[in-house]
Amino acid sequence: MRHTLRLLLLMLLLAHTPAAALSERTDEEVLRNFLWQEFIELPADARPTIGLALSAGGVRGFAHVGTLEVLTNAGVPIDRVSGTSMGAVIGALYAGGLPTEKLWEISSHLSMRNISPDFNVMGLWRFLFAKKLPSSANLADFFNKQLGDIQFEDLKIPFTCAAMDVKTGERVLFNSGPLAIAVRASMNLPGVFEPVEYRHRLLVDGAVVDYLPVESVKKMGADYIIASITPPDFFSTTPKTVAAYLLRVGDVRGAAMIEEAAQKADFVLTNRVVDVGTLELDKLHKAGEIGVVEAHQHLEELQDSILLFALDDIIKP
Amino acid sequence: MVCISTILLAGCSSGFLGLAPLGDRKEYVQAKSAYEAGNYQSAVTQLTDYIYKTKNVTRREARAYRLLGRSYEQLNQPSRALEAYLEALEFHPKNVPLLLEAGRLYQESGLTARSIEMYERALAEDPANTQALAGQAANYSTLGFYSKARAFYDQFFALTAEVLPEYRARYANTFLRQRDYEQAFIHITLALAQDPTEEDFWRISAEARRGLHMPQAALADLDAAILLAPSRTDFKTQKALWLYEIGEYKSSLQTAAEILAQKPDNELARLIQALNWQKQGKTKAAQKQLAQLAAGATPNSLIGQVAQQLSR
Repeated sequence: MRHTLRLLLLMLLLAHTPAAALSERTDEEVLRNFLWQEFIELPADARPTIGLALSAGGVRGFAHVGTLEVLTNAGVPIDRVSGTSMGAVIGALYAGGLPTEKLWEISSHLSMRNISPDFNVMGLWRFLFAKKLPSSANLADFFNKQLGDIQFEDLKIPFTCAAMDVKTGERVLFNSGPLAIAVRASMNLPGVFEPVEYRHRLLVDGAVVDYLPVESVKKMGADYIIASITPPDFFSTTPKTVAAYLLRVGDVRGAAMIEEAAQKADFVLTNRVVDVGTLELDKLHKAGEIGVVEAHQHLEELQDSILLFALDDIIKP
Repeated sequence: MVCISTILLAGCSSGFLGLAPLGDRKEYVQAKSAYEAGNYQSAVTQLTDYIYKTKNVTRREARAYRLLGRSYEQLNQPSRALEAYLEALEFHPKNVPLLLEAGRLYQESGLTARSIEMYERALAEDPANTQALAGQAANYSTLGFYSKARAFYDQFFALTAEVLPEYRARYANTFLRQRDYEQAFIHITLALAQDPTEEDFWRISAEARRGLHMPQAALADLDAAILLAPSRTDFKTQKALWLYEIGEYKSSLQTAAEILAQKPDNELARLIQALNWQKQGKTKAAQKQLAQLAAGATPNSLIGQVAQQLSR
C-alpha cells in the first residue's frame, strides 16, 4: 500500500519534472553485480573455498588492512587466511574476528614501545654491554590486548603463520596452540629483535623463508587463492643503519620469493607502497590507504575472476 | 590621531591589509562586472592585467585569482583555472576558498589524491567547513574507502541543517557499497522524500531492498526508475535478471525482448534469454544462443566468458 502511494506520487510528479541525466551502468556492470550478489549469498559448502595469503613487508604490510577493507565491503568470503610477519599480525587479528575499523585503529596505537620493552636507555645499555638485541616481547602483550589470550583453535577463520628456526633454517608453520607468541615469532625481524624461544626453537621472522604463504593457504584447503602483496620499494629509500641494511637484504630475498609464490595464486593484489621504510610505524595508515586504492581499482577484475571460477555453483541448469 | 590617518593614507596608496590600492581595486570591480555579465574572456584579460600589474606578489589578491580561475572555468579551461588557484595558494597557502576551489577542480579532473590534500588543508584551517567535508566524503567514496567517506558524511550531516537529497543519496550509496542495506534503505528513503524524481535514487532503493531480501518491493522500485528514465537499458537488464532470479521466467523473457526490440545487439539481453530458456527446458535454443554469444561477444567481456563457460 505504502509502495503504491510512493509510485502514485512519483507519477504525479513525472508530469512536469524532466528525468535527470545520470550515467548509465554498462551491461558488464549489471551482470557482474547480479552474479556477485548470487555468489556471496551461497552457503560456504555450496561454493569454492576462498583463501587469502598476506605477504610480509614490515610497515608496508599494513596495506593488507586496506585490502581487507575492500574485500569485506564487497562481501568476498574469506574462508582461510595465512600471513607472514606483518601479514601474520593483520591476518591473525582479522581471523580472530576484529572488524576492519578496529584494524585501522591499530595504525595509531602501534609503536616501537608496543613491540619492544627495550627502546629506552636500558635497552641501549643491554645492546652495547650485554650484546643483546632488543626483545619483541611486548608485541605478544599488545596482541593479547586486541584479541585476548586465545589459541589458534579459537579463531573464527582458520589461520596459519610461519617463522624460521635460526638453528636449523627450517620454516616452522604454526596452526595450533597460543596465537600471540606465534605471531610475535612470525614478525620477529632478524637483526632487529632477539630470536623468540618457543617450542625448543629459536625463531625469527617467517619472511626469510616464506614471504608470501600461498602454499600454506593451499594446504589449508583453499580452492581459490587471493594474494595480497607489498613488494619492496628499492628506489625511494636508501638504508642508513645496520638494521636497515639487514632489512634490505631480507627484502631483496623477499622480492624473489613473492614472484615465485604469486604465480601459484589465482589473483594477486599488488600494493605499491613507496617511500615507507620497514619500521616507519607512523606511516602505517598511509600504507593502509594504498591497500584500499589498489584493491578497489582491481575489485571488478577480482570479482570477474571469482565469478568465472564459481560459475557452475552460481548458475545451475 | 595623526598617526592613524597616516597609516590609513599609506594603506590607500600602497595596498592596506593585503588589498590593492583603491584606484586599482576599481579594475577588480570592473572585471567582476564583466564576469557577472558573462564576458568571461574580458574578465580574464582584466584580471590578468590587474593581478600581474603589482610586482609585490604578496599583495596579489586571493579574490582576484579566484575570480580569474572561475572565469577560466566558465571558458572551459580547467587546467588554466587550476593554475590560477595554485599560483594564488603560493601566496595565500591558508586561504580556504582557494583551497576549496582547487580541491573541487582536482576532484572533477579525477585527481583524487591531490583533491584530498587540498581539502585536508582547508579542514586544517576550518574543521567545520561543510564543502570540504562533503568533498572529502566524495573523494574517499571514489577511492573505495567507504568507511572513511561515511565518517566525513557523518560530520557533514551533523553540521548541515538542510541537506540536499543528492548528499543523502551519496550517503546511502556508501552504506550500499558496504552492504549495510538497512541503513542504505533508510537514507535513500529520506532522499526520495525530498526528491522522488531522481531515477538513480529509486535504483539505490531497489538495490537496498534486494539486499534486504524483499524482491517484489525491489522490483517495484526498479519499475519506478524505469518509469522516470525509460531509455535507461541498465534498469531494464537489471529487472530482467531479478525476475529470472525469483523464477519469473516469462516476465524476464518479456523484459529481455523489450530491450532487444530497442537494441537488437544487446548481448546481456540475449544472455538473459538463454538463461531463461534453460530454466524452461528449452535446452537446444539456450545452447545455440550461448554458443552464438560466446563466438560473437566482445572479446574477454564477462558476458562472453559467461556464455562460453555455460555453452560447454
